[in-house]
Amino acid sequence: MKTTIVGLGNPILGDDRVGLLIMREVEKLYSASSKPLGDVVFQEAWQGGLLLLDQIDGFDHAVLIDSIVSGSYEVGTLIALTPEDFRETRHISNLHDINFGTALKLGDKMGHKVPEKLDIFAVEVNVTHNFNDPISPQVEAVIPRAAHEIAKRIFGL
Amino acid sequence: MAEPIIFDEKKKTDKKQLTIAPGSRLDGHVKIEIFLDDKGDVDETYFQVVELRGFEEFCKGRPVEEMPRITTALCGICPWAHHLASTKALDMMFDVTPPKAALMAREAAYCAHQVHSHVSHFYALAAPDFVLGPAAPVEKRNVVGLIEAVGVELGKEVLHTRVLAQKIQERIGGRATHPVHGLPGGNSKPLTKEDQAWILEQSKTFVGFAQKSLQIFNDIVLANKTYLDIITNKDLYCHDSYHMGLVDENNHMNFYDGKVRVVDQKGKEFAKFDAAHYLDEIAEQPLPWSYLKFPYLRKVGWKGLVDGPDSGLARAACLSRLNVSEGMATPLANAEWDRYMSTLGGTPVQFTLATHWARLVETLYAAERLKELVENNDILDPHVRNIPTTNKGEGMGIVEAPRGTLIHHYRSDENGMVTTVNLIVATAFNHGAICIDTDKVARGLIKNGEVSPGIFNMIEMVFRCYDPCFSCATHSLPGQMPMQIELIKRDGSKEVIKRNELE
Repeated sequence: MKTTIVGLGNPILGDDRVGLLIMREVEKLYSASSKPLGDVVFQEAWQGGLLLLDQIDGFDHAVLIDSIVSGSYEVGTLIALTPEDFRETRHISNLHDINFGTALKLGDKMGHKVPEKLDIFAVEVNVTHNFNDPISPQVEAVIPRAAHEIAKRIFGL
Repeated sequence: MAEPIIFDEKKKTDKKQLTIAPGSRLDGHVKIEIFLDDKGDVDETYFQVVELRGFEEFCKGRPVEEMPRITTALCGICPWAHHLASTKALDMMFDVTPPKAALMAREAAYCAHQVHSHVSHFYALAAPDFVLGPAAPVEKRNVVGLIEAVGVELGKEVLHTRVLAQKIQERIGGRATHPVHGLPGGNSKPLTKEDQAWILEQSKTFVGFAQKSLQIFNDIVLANKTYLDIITNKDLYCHDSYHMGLVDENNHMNFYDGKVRVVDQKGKEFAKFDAAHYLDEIAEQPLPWSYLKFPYLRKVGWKGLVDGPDSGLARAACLSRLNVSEGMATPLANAEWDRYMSTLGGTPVQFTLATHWARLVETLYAAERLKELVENNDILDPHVRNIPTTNKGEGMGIVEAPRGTLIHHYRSDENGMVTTVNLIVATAFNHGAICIDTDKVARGLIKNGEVSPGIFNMIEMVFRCYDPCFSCATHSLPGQMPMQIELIKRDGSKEVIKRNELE
């Protein structure tokens, strides 16, 4: 099974970068394990929509890690999402073209190899107002725990 | 194919506050406020942008040569525009001219970026409003509904074109979305023969697809008298403004290089300037109700959100680039420019909805220009960088982003650390025009307090023409969509209509 782990976020924007940082930690855990390297691709994505569709095209399994401002959880909580939550995360839906649910439908109609399995994780974050904002301590603290949880669920590590 | 649904049934509402949310098909957080008089007609409208992020402050104290890579993080929508405006500003700051091959490769990558952006915009954001119709059900009025209406094969071509354009940017620039290509004085790597041959083949595909897209626009929009009447209705999507855009020495538009040409409401040249003199020509006006400033022509002065000869506002997008041009530099696009101008009454075209047609003419130009650039073997010269030896401490760079003129201006200290950053982005140039058009369309369509989903969508169609991106305009990257429209009556009461209550 060909799998991709995609971290989403802006690398210079406060809590927004948490998806990228968790993805890198998962990559480290995977690399340190005895699992074969060939079939797993770790990627960064700075936006969703059609561009994200391009990035997961051809994979059997896609794991998306993003941030979310839902107000329903404490900041720093890792949440597993369903496809219905696509519009809610900060990057999976690219408002400039189409939301990700529409992108998946479009890809399917166009004969793209849309992943049969999708796992979506998001960390509840503070709204980031300024590029100078540092990452929140609660969000930074969740990164190693979130990486271990995702590595366990996806790879059994 | 079914006929588009252009009009729908209006309903009078007695709610106190009207909100349309979420808005759709733009990037950023905006709010439209519409003030109604006692009869329920529109008195005033405000298009507000409500985000603010301190990107300029973030850059201060960083090595200035990092700016072309940092600025791409501002926005995932037009990273190449920021990358190249930034790189050009550094060319000026370090007083170094890149070799010819480097300039050709930069422009080639940028043409591919324009194809990618324009095709995405036309098919994902604009075309659903015309193919399905402004009043079509919202669940159908999107790119999936569009493909269901026009056929899967076209959809495949759209996605294929986007993917190829991304790959060209990646082959030239190292990364497609956030390039690591431009350096002060040149580029990070030369183009290989294999890349040249591959890109040339794709450019031919792009030319054909751009022609096909123009034919589709012709068949679906221009051949529909109702649409043509809406496009050319001077009481709706139309206002008399100045226009600006980069042109070459022949006054033909260019995305990457040249001078900024400004024409007035009659099409007469008002100003022509290079990046170093932009402050002589452009100033910015803040207003208390919006985070996004309003750039204006300094020599006309700030006169508020008005059109006509006394207005200092200049538009800057596809419509404007065609207006400041005296033709196009490539043959097929030039023929389309002639047809466009003769159909719409000649330059300057002030019909805002014509921007979509202009965008397709530009797509054809970008494809042809890309082909021209990669056909020329000079682009293979391995000498792609002149190493800078001095730092003047100040540099400006201007390019045409897909959505209009983009200016980067930096100052650095004696150690090459950033001390000042000023960015004037395309959406800011078009901010005043969006406000004026939004007001005019709302005024033209809302009477006696009667509204409908189709009317609200027709108001939203204003900003889609300009393809605004408020991420970099206010230097923010919001994740949730957030447009709302409030109707505020003269007595101060508000009425909110939620989109999902109507649609």
